[in-house]
Amino acid sequence: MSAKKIIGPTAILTVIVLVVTALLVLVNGMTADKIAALKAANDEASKKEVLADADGFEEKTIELDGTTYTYAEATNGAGYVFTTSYKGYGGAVECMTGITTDGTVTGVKLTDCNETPGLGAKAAGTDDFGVSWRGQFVGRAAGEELKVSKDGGDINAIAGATITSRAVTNSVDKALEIYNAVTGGAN
Amino acid sequence: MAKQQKSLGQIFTAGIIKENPVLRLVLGTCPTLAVTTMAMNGLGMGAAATVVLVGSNLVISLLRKVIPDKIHIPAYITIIAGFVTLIQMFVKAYAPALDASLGIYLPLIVVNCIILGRAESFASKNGPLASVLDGLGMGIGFTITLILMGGIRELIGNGTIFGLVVNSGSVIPPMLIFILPPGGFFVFGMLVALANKIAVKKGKEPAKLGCGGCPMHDSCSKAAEGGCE
Repeated sequence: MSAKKIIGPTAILTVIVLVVTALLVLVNGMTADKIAALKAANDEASKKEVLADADGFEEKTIELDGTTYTYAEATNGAGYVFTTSYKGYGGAVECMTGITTDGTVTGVKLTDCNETPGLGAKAAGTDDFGVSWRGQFVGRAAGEELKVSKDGGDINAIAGATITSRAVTNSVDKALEIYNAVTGGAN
Repeated sequence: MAKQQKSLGQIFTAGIIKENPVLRLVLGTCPTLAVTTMAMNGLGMGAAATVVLVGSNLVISLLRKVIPDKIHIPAYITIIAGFVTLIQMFVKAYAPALDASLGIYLPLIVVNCIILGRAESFASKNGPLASVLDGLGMGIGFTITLILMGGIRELIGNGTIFGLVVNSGSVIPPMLIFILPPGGFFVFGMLVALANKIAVKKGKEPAKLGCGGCPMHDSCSKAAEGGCE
């Protein structure tokens, strides 16, 4: 194979890669800030969804069992929002749990859910089913240990989606655990 | 193979039925099986894939005389992946609602072999206008098939269609297995069988895993034997 036959195609491929990379860098520069701002606004809106009385949040950290957790404390003292995750069927299921200062859950929202559409994904749904399923957690208090009925608890799992249901239940349970650590186990 | 000069109209409609990418060319089966758990998912994925297909067909057709054959696969993949990433960045920044509803399906388009397959078998050999029409036709055919499969699976497996409850489960409970992978394979097989039956009736060959849509045909040993079957 002559040198020309190798250099020619290699040069063209290199040019194509450079052009594509340049375009990606250009567009990234144009959009990165906007995407980050949208994400931050989205996060704030999600937190307000699970803790409606809050007006703004301050980020804090706490160490529990060797892991450092970041949580959000409402600036007006309405309560806390914890973001926890647990392994589901299609990866980690991330939940935001709002807990008031008297230790009761006010809301649960799934912020990262790659579960099976039509089955586990129903846990994240904004329809009647999703809202009422997640409503099981509202009003639960920090002293209780939450489990699905299959594991001896009283949370009803979604039919055909036990793993997802367990992931959400364990996430909310973890949030209550961190709440206890934050408030020093007062409740 | 001698090329028949198809009219532009024929190029467009070919992708919808006669050369439907999923049921006749047997391309893009992975996203088809994964995405069609609900009709709405099928629509979202199909629409996004069509945009990418048209765009990449156009670019590759414009560059077809410049890219040497030896490196055409890495070149096409770079262009397609770059395209999808650019679209994803624009959608995330300027159409966040669309990004939320497409979710993971947008980046998944990179691995949709319909795009590489059409780049290889059509866009690299035809002019830009024809390539755009081919992309549009194939994309629409893809979307229709996804909605059809998604609708069937959602209806039997969940009792709903596009989220509207049709069968509330009080008389016949929905058959959950249709939303799971085995159901996907089953419905897919039935649809391909149906498409083959119609094709044979019209005197055409049944769908095969032929070499036409496969990007590996240059380096594959089975190509000499006429295909994978």
